[in-house]
Amino acid sequence: MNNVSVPHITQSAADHFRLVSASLPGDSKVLELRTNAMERFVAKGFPLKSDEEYKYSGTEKILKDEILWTTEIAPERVIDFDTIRNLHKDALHVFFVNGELIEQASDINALQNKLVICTLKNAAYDHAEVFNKYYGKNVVGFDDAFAQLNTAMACNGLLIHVPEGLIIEKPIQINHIGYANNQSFYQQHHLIIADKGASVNIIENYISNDQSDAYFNNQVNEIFIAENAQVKYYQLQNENKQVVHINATQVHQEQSSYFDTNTITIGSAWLRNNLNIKLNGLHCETHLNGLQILSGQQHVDNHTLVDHQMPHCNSNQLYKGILKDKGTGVFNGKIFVRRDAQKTNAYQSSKNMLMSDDATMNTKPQLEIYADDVKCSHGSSTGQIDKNALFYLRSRALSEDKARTLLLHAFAIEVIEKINIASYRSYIENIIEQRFE
Amino acid sequence: MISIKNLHASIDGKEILKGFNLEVNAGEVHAIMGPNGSGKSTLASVLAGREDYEVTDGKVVFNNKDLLEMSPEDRAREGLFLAFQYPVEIPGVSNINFLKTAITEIRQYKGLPPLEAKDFLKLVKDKQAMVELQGSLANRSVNEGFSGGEKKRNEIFQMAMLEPSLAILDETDSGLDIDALRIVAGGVNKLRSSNRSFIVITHYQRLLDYIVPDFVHVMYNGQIVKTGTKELALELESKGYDWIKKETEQAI
Amino acid sequence: MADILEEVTGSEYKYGFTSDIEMDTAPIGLNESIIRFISEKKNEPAWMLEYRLKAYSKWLTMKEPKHWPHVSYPEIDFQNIIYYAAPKLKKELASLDEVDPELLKTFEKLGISLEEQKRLTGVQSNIAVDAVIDSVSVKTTFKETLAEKGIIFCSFSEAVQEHPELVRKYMGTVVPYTDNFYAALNSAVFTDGSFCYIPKGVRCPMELSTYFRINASGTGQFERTLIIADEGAYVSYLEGCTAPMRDENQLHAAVVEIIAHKNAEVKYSTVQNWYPGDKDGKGGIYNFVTKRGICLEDNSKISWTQVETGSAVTWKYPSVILKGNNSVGEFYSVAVTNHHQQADTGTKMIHIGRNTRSTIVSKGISAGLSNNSYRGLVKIHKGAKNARNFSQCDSLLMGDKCGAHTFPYIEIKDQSAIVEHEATTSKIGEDQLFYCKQRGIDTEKAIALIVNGYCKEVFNQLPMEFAVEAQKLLAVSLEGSVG
Repeated sequence: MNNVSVPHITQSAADHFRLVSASLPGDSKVLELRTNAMERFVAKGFPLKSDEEYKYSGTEKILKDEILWTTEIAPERVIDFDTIRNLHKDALHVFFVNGELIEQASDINALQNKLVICTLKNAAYDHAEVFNKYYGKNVVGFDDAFAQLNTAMACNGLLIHVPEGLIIEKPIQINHIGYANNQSFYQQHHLIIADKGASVNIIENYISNDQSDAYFNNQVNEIFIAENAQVKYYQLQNENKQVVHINATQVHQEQSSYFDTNTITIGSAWLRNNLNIKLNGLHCETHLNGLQILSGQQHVDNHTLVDHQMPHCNSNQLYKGILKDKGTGVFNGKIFVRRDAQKTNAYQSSKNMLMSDDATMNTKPQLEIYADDVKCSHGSSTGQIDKNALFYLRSRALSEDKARTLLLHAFAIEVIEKINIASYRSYIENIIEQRFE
Repeated sequence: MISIKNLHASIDGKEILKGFNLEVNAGEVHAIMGPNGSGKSTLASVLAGREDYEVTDGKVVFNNKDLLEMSPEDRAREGLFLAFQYPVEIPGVSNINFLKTAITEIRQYKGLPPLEAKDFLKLVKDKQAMVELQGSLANRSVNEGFSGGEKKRNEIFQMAMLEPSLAILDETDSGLDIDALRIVAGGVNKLRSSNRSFIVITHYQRLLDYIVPDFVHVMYNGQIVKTGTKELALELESKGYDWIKKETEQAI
Repeated sequence: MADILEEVTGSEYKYGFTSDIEMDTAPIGLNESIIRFISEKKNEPAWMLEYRLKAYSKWLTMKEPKHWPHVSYPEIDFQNIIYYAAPKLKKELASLDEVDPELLKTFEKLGISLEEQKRLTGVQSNIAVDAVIDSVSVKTTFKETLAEKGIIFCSFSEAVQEHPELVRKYMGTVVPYTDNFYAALNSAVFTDGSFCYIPKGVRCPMELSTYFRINASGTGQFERTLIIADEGAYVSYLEGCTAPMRDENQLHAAVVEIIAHKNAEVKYSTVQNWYPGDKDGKGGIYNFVTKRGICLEDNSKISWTQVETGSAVTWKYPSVILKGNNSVGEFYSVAVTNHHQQADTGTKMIHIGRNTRSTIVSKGISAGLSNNSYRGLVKIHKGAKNARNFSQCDSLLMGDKCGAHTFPYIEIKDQSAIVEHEATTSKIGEDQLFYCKQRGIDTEKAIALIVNGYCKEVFNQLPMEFAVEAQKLLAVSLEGSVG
């Protein structure tokens, strides 16, 4: 099973698709979309370093062995759902193990009383109209091999549909528990739809069941935010350091809608986030924040694209990285302002701290602007802990370690403070503090 | 000097000036006071030719010419000067270079050759002294990094350099401490002459202690509703604007 | 303002004359025998021909870089270009009188009066000029004055004949022929260029300058410049470029290499005004240039300043490799695009030595239907202790049919580095324009004033004569573009 080539794995994915395509959820139109996605994927193949979008994250390093395209839950293991639940009591919880919904452990019933929530497979039958209408629509045009592969093959994930005017106060926390050490490749695909004036808060929590687990997690989230609707979407990426995690979040915003996302990354061996926001109405507001704290040999790549298509929209991005040991961080963010998107305000900031001589940070903040009456800027800085501040704290009797921790915490907190759900914010603060100790 | 008759102007479809009338003769100083939103700054902008405003009716004759027909730069060349409420910053363009360009353009309009460098520099030196502007400010970029007081003094300095026949001061006193106010007013007083007129727009009477006006007008709802002398300003200061509003509304 | 925008008329390209000079040209197309032809024409030693042929065989294996630059243009047919076009000159000119009078007229139009220069020989504080027309250096002035100080300033061909040891030692050390598609092409077919060597401890007493001009139609221009500043030396080097107006696109693929030894400093300034094509985007130069300097030893400094107003398509990243400890790299750029011009330009700062510093100031101005991109790389190698970089990239948009883009790449592998990048995009403020108008300044002049102010940081880096020229050029380039 050793040292197979990337094109070989691309081919094995295509072979698997031929086997299963007839049984995948969706009508004939969806199947056509899936087939097209597969063709796009095969045409591109898993991206190599020579691909400009994967310049710093070629898959040569991670795709070396055969991949298992089907997974099962190993029955001999016991998962302690309650411990996870108790860490964040103020949320309604949903549990996935290896991409399969564990219904008996989840608050599905409590949620179903309010909104539509069901697995993708069920959605294709019980909510066929919605499913067939939305599935894959936000991935078309996003020419990324992983996202196309997911869209072609995904059969797991959730449909969350919040009807017009409904406001869901309690956050919905989706817990993903990875559970295999055999090169399994999970693919989930969420459809999150907030109708006119609706509001929903969603948290995704990624953990591994065991320190030795090693698998691939390739997820796509399609988020549709209708006029005047609001979605907060937060992720905590905390899988163990053997895992390869790829995440594409495709957001479509209509007039006067609001989107707020915050991605905290501390886990995984190799991780790639793609966040693509389309501002398709006037007066949209969108906030993208992220924090990555890396150690060991972790490699994390955050890609963002905010596509300003209409006038009078605001976007804000703040991404911070702390890189220890041999950690490698990438931030590639683009603000794209189309000709019609006058009066755009778009800001982006990337700040990074290197804690070791073996750590690497690559940033590529980009502005691509075709409208003239706009205010756009980006800033990027990479440096280390301020030596004067460190000395000042030590002269006030703090140990060097303590002083360092304090300053790192202060650096990280700026991102955490932007989390707009109080209970989740304190949950994250705890995790980050432990991380610094 | 300037004759404004039945001036109506609006912005984004909202009418701000609603039949404004004013006659200013050579050498006169007119103060225009009024509560916030009465249209004072709009008047200044419309007279200077800001394109955001649409003139829907009325006539303005300036030095026997139709002012409203002229481009903003031609109004300036004809001798109309606006001291901005919020002077604009132009990074990288030195004050000196800016003024030299302006003076050359104005002189060219009048058929005069450009000033000799030596004469220009002498002029700069004299006028700077008049508004107690530091020499170094002249070499800095236009208004960039200037304090509020420096910006306002710079406006008066430019006015002194360009020697207009009509100067409109748009809330030049706002944001000034007493010392700066005295300097600015002192500059204006030195520029007063029998062939130069002023329209001084202000919210507060205090400025008029230093620049004593010949007439005081009270503006409300886009019109002049009361005219008097310096004493009217004092009355406004003690009684506020509410009685004017009431009086006006009763009259309607 | 929108109405006035419609009136975009564009200025005439005032350098667009052609000269009727008798030309000596190679047959059209490219193959080994063309390379041998060029090498033979230039009476080159065997090692040079060998170098060319190696570059050529490498080039054949390379692809045109079309996927990453933010530019688009039709396929270039490399077999439809004349790779050698030289003004027919008598060998060994005894005096300037023997120069083709048409050629002298060309220089007069360019504003370089060689006659004048010649008469003034010996007078201090002047500019020494090397003029290159269609790839061939035609005249270098002030040679004798410079020679007294041991400075070598001559055409590249002459350097190959007279100073082969220096050329062999340095050529291709900063930009190897394997570097990229256009560098490989240039290494195979370059016909001439300038060579400059400043010996140990010498401060060059005058600005050295090269004027490049593409004249013949159907030709490409492939010149090479090699500048070496030995220990403690200083030189300020100026480069100006013009080309006639032609309906076709012409290719310019140059290579510039700079080597700065210990404590040496090289300042390289460019005013690039190749023909940009007409207002409908017809014609113009494809300007694909590789410029790179290396701060080879400690305390050396290389500074690039460029004012780019010409060319239909520009692809150019003057770079500095900061190898010596405490070395300094600078890049100051103003890039203006109007009508259908496309520019993808910026710099690379590669930090290798300790305590190295780099500064990047880039001002992009886009008007008309043009696209203007900044693309830059700041790379801090592991072990490049205490490296510092500051980058400021500002874009100004004039009109709503152009584009302004910023693509910085920042790669950091040392924790002691401090790297900061800032970029903004804005338009000329209506407030600023109105303020100027209220002071009696019309729109056209107001824009020139505001834009020159915006570019001041860069213009300040240019030698005086060049700064004045650059300001005028900017005004001409933007004429009629807004309000």
